[in-house]
Amino acid sequence: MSIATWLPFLLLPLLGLCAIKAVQAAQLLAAALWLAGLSAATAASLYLIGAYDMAVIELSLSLGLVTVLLAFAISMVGANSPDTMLRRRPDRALVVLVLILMVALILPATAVPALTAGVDGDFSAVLWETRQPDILVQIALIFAGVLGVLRLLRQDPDTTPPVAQVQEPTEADKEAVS
Amino acid sequence: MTTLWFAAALFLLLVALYGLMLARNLIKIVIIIQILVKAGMLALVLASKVSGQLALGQSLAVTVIVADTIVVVIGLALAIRAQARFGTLDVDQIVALEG
Repeated sequence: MSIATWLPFLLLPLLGLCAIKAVQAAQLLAAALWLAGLSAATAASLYLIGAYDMAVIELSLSLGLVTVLLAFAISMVGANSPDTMLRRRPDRALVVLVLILMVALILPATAVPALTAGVDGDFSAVLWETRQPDILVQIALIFAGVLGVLRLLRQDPDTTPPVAQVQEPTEADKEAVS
Repeated sequence: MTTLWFAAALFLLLVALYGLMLARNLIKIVIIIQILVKAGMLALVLASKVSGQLALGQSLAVTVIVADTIVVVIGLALAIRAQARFGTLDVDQIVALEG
């Protein structure tokens, strides 16, 4: 039995476990680490599906950049800041309703054909030629995000302490020195 | 096997929706939104693979990931400002404040 055959049965429970633990974690840093695990499992899943380029991007952006950003933000607000999730047991009727919805939504998916094998077009050609407007939108989004963050994290002039001004020595000061 | 992948994406979506109903911490909400987007992206790539247009699906998923990363950056910056301004990350307490 090849690794590609049994690996999905390892990844699927891992996806669910990481998602549940990320939601349930009381500490923010723990939740961020479980999210990093979910990103890794998602990247492996994308690789198994055949989306190799997406797997690399998921690893670098979600697992790398987002985890670092979350760790930075959590360190700024306080690593011991707990999550204030409502501490109550979910209603049993709600759980049953959610399970029924899951089954009702999954059943039609059983008619989906199997994953097609073989090459599904050139990713770089589609990305840089066919989807050029998407690239321009992404560039605009990135610039907008950078400008937004610079503005949000700028110190408020009302709260920033004024710079101490140098005062010219008075006549009394000059006489005291002499 | 395809059904199991779609079921995994659906499960992630439901877990994220459940968490959004309960979470009150701003940074925790950002984390749960990440789970939500991963579910959608996984379903998008799966659908493109099934339809034989994986390259198109991947290029669209790249746009989704970039937009999602910007959302994370802005969301965390807002959370840091909210913490500095209100002294708390609890959305219920922030909403209850009367300025």
